[in-house]
Amino acid sequence: MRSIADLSATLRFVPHVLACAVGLTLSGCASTGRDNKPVEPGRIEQLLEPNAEVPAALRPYVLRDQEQGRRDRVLNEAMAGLTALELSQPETAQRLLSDAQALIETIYAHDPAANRARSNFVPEADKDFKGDPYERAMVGYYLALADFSDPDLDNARADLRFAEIQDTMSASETFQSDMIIMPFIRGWLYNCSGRQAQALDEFKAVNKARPGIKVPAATDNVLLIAEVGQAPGKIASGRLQEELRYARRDDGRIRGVTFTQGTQLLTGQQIEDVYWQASTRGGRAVDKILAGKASFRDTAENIATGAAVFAQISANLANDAARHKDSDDAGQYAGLAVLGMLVSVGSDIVAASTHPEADTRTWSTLPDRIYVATTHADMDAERMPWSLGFHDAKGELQRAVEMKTFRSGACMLVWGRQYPGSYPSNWVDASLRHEEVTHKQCKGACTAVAEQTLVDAQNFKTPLVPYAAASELPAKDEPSVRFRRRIFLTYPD
Amino acid sequence: MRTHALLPLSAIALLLSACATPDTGKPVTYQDVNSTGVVAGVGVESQDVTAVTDAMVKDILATPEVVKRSQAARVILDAAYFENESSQRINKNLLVDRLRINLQRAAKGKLQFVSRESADMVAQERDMKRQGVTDAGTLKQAQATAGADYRLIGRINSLDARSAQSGAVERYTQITFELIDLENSLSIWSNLYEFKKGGQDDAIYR
Repeated sequence: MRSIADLSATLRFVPHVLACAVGLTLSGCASTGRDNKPVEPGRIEQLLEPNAEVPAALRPYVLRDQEQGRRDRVLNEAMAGLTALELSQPETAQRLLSDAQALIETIYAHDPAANRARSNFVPEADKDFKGDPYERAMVGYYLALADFSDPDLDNARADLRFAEIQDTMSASETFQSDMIIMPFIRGWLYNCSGRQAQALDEFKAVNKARPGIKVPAATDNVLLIAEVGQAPGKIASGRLQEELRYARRDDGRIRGVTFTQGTQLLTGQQIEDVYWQASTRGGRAVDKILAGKASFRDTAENIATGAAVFAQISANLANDAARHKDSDDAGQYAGLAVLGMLVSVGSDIVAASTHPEADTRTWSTLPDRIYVATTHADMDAERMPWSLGFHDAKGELQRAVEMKTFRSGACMLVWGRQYPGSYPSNWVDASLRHEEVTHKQCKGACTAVAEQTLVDAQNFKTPLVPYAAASELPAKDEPSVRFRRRIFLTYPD
Repeated sequence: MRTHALLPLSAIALLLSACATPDTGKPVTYQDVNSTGVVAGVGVESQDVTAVTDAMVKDILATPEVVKRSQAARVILDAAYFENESSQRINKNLLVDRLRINLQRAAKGKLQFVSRESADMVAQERDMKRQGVTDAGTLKQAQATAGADYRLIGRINSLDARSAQSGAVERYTQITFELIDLENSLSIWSNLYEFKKGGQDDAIYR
C-alpha cells in the first residue's frame, strides 16, 4: 500500500521520465535534418570569372551560397544570374543560370534531402529549392537573354523551350504551356537566323493563345523587353500554414511602357503576366503531403487534449478516493493521472515538432509583368542608348531608365526593368530625356499608351484599377491561437 | 483499470505509425535503347555523346562512297550547319569535335578534313607570307586553300512529355547527321541516333 506522500514524490520525477520518453519516441522518427545535411559551399564563386574581383552586386549571393549550400543553390544562382545581366555580364549570367537550369532538370528520386522534407518533423522548406513552375520557367527566360550574346542562337531558343516545358507542370490543363513570351521571343530569334517559316509557326502559337498580340515583322531586328512590377509573393495560409497561396505584390500603378531612342518613340504591349502564371498552377502533389502533416499534427493535438482531460479526471478521482481514505483506489487513479499526463505532454511535444508549413521561399527579384516592342534598326549606324519609360493607366510618364543592350549578329536585344534586381545604380535614370522625347512625339497627350493599356487589360483580363497596395495585401497568416494545455494535478496534502 | 491504461499506449502507437513516409519517386532510367544507367536528368549526357559519335564513325567508315575513292575525300565537319532544335541547351562542339577527331584517327588518310573555322586564321598567315612579313615556312605554298567535297549537317531534336499528375517526365531525343555533296547538293550519307529517357521527381517537387 502506497501513501499519498509517496505518490507526490513520484510525481516530481515525472518531467525527467517524460523528457527521456519523448526523446526516445522522437528519435525513432525521421531526423530533423539540416544539421546532417551535406553542404557543398562555394559553387557560385567557382562559376564567376576566375581571378577577377567579384562585383559588389554579386557578393551577397556568393556569401549566401557558401552558407546555404545546395539547399538554396538554384534560388541564389537564379538571382545572381539576373544580377549579372543587370551588370551587362551575359557570360557570367550564362554560367550561373545554366547551372541553375541543370539542377532544376535533375530528377530527385531517393534523394535524402527530399526524403527528409517529406517527414512530419521537417518543414517542406528543408528540401533543395527548385522553384515553382513559373520560377523555373523564368530561369529559362533569363538564360535565353544571356545566351543571346552567343553568335549561335540555337541555345537561346532551347532555353525558351525548356521554359515552356516547365509551365506544363500546371495541374490545370487550361493553363499548361501558356507562357506566350517564350514562343514570341523564339519566333523573333528565328527571324534573326533568317528562318522565317519557323518564325511564322511560333507566332501562330502566340496568336492562338492570345489573339490580340501583335507579332514582329520579319525585318524587325530589335526586340525591346520591359519588366514591370514586383515579384509574385508566396503566402503560407491555413490554420497550420500548410496551404500555399500566391499574392500579387505589385501595386499596379505602372500600366504601360514606352521605349525611346533619339526621336523614336515606341509603345510596348504586355506579353506576359508572371503573377497569373504563378497563380494558375493548380493543386500540387506536395499539398497532399502537407495536408497529411497537418492532419498528423491535429491528431497529436487531439490526443494531447483527450489525455489531459483523462489525467484531470483521474486526478480528481484520486483526490476523492484519498479523502475517503481509500489509498488503494487513490494510488491507482493517481497512476492513471500520471500516465494521462505523460501521453498528453508527449503528444503535445510531437504536435509541436510537426512541421506542415508550406515552403514560401520565393524568387523575389522577378517582375510582375513583361512588355515588348520590336522595330528595325541599322546596326552599323551610331546608336544612342534606348530608354524605357513607365506610365500609369492614363498614359502619364512616371519615370524612365536607360536600357541594357545585347547584340548578336544583325539583331539587338534591349532590356530594362522597373525594379532593380540588386543595386538601383545599375539602372541609370533617363526620365528627363525620355520625357522630352515623349512630349515632342505625343504633342502633350500620349494617347497611344492609354489605348495600349486598354488592349493589355483585355488581352490579360486584368482590371484597370491599381492592384492592392503592398500594405493592403494579406500578411503572412499566423496560425490561430491554440489553447496550450496545462495540467494541474491536485493532490491532497 | 488495465483496459483504461491501454488507451494512452494505443495513442502513442498510433502517433509513431505516422512516422512512415510514402512515395520516394523512381530513379531515372533509359527506355527503349541499348544502354542503361542511373542518370541525373533526361537530356543528352556524356555517355550519349560518346555513344552517338562512336556509332557515326563506324557507319561513315563503312560507307564506300565516302572512304573507297581513288583520292581521299575532303570533308568539312564542324558545328556551323549543325542545329539544336531540342529543349536542351547543349554545346554542339561536344558532338562534332569528337566525331571529327575520332573519324580522322580511324580513317587513316582515307578522309581529309577541311577546317573552315580556321579560314580567317589561315588567310591572315598566307597574307603575311606573301607580303614578306614572314618567310614562306617549310611547307610548299599552295595556290589556294583546300576546297571541300562534302560537309556535315545535322540536327538535334527532342520531344518532351510530362504528366502533371504523376510528375513523370520523358524526353525523346533524336540526333541526325548527313554528309552533303558540295557540288550537287546530294546527300551521300545519313544516319541518326535516338534515345528516350524518363524519370519521376520526388512528390515533394510536384
